[in-house]
Amino acid sequence: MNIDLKKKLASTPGIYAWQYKIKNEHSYQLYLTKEQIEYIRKVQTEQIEIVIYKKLDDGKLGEAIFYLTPVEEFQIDEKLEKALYIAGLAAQKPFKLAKSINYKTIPLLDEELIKEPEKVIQDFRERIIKAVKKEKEVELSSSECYISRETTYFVNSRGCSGEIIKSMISWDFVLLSGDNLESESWYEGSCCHHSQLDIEGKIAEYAHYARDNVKTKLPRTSKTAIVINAKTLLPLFEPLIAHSSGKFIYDNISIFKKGKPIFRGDKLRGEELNMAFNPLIPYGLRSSPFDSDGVALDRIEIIKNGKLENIWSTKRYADYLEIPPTGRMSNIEISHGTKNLQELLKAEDCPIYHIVMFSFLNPDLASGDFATEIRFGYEIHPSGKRIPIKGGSITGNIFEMLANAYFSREIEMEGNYFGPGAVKFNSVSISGS
Amino acid sequence: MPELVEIMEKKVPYASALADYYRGLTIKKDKQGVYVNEIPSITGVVLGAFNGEFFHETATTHCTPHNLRQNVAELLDTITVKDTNISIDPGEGGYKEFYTKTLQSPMQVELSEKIEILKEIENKLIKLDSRVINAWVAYKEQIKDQIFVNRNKNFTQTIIRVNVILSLFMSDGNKVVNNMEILGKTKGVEILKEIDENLLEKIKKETIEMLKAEKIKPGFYNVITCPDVTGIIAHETFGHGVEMDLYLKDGALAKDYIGSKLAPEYVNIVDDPTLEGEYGCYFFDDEGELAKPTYIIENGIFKRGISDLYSSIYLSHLPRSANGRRESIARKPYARMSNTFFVPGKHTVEEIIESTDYGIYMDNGYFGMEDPKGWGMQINSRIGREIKGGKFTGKVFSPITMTGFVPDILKEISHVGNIFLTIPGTCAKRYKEDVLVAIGGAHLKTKARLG
Repeated sequence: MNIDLKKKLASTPGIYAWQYKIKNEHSYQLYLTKEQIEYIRKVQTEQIEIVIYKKLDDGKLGEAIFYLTPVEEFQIDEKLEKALYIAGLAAQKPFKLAKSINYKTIPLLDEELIKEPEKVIQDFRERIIKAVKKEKEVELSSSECYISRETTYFVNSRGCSGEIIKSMISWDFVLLSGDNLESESWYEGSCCHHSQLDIEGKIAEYAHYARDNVKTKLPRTSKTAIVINAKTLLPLFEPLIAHSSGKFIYDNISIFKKGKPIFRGDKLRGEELNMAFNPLIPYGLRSSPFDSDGVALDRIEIIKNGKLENIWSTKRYADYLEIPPTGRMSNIEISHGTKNLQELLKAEDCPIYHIVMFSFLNPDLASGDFATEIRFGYEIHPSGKRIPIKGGSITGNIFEMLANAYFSREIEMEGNYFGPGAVKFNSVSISGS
Repeated sequence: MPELVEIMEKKVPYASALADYYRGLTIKKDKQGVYVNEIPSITGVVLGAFNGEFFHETATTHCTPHNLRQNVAELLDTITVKDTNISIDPGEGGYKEFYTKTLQSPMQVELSEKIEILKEIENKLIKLDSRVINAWVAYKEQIKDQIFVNRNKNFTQTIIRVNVILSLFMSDGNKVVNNMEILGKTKGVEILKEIDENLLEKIKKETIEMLKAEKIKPGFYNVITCPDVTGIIAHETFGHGVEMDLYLKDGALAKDYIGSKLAPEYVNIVDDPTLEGEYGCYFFDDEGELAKPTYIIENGIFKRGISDLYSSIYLSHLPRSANGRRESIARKPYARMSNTFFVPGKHTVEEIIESTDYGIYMDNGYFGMEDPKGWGMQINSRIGREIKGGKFTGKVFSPITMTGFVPDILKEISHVGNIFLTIPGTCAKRYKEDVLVAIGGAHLKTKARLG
């Protein structure tokens, strides 16, 4: 950027407060169709997000958010003039911007990864092809890998400033199996350090699923227990995250009350949920010393022993509710339970289901209701027999399901999730054969 | 840009350049006040070169002539041209300019006027019922300018899209439900006039129904889909299912069914970026192919899929369509949909309902997920209305998920309605790569598994 934005914003008449973020990203991308390269891409982007505030006559705060890319820098005066006009019309309840504080230091940049990204991309291709070749009866359908270096610089008019430099690998693959390649399994993941890139492990796991996916049947229409894998689980917690937020509480949408149980039902029949946000995990996917408003982040317990312990909130809603700001959501930690995975997967009186993958788990944030197709899983019989399943759907409500849930003792890290490798929910409706 | 393409083609057999420039605003009115944000977007240039076998691209937001020339030089340095027989036809075209037609362009309407309309709508939403605990309304206008250049083409297009979302929260003290209504077109601000008392009454009625709704007993049902649910079916099955980039990856079962009869003769599915005013419209795709309709299913027979440039090169026996779309310059193009819909048939909705002894009317569709390989599908709607003896009983289930094997659901279609409606949407390819589309069609009657 060629302009002194800080000086410009501080000296523009009519601006009461301001903040801006400069985000630079350098990305190298590889796209494979089967084993062949389809695209190799290099991307360099820069974007500046500027927020200005204006004091309005009725005590309200006017806000306007606008963006600058390098080609638009010459338009800064015109854009500021327009933003001041907009802020004059966009009246909101007042709040204060984050104040200056020393942020914690968290390792987020893997130097080795971003030193020679072209080489990492090339190694990725060789490793994934080799890993697939090691597996019986599977083929690579496609794969993508992005290596990026993201720099975010934040500053506001209350003297708050900080910089985050982060490396990132985002990757996916699709495997095929069967005589006519009629079955597939797919994985997508992101991580921040090359040591977290477990290509061989994930290929072995998903090759197994692809092979088993050849011989699936429909699940039975029933009300029974389901065990959901960590990779698939995270969206189910989204209604809990929403209802414990300052925004939902201020907007009168939340059904949670501080110190009260978060499940719906007369009594808890399973284990208590413990959920925390932890932004301080080294090379964690959502680790960060501060959030997008400059609020310093720290570990915070949200749900403790099945009850709402703390409300998490952005600076805006924390001021509205007159509570300390925690900043935005980061990595999610869920405490482990007392039973191991094998115990959870044991069927007693009737078959239970182990869900490896849903088509798309998309619970309603307000009601907690969800209904989703089973993309792949296993029917487990009391005898221990495991039959691969596909199709049919599962319907439920996460607040009701948490009244009877068990968390595995084993812990997994998957993206921004750090928690039990699986969770068992008793008495869930399944639509199938 | 033509100069950059010329430089690149001194080394490679085919090159192109695409410039994207986005402008736009989001205006939201909620309990706290009014929010007006510019739309965050990646404005810049992507330069592409085909080496005889695959593509190299470089994309940047630093678009000075000096920087772009330097990017071209660096790109060419990394390329080894492959000696293959593959060539890319740059097509005919010359210089063409295209603009979205609007009655009231977003630029011609004062911001204050738009804010006042939204304030009025939000106020009405809040007062709809004593059980309303929150409501918001959001308006978005997006103006996308694009320039595409290859050795024969120099195309520019300006696409104006406007959408409005109404969101209503109600509670009975125990349960909270959220209902939404979404309107969106490649049109101007005139879309706000479509929000009338009837629409507000509809959203109120549905939200109260959601509060009182029961869970459906899982099973197989006669299902009547409203046009937006029908659109989601078209999108997830014969949209994603026929994206030809997946054919190259053996990732779509549809590849084995070209020319097969998959549905009764009164079933037709089309993807059409030229359908004027619809949210997924464009004049040329992100690879410079002029927009044209693709008749995917004609009279029940699966005819053809939709393609991007790469898949059309390697599947040269199949026709190329204008469906090469990218999320932004930061991503590569894929075969993606535009406006995908079932063509209307001859039955009135009353006839379809009267023909149903017992069944469920799926209303207010909001989500779907594709499974091109297994040809399964997941379609979610907020409301399922019970029908008994050809009439609605008043009983409502929520939410509803339809699942099943696509050919089974298609062959069971017994009625296609005569009303045509579309809704706007954001479409992802598996879990990413968002592009704007429209989906729609008419009422359908079929049989499917609901849960």
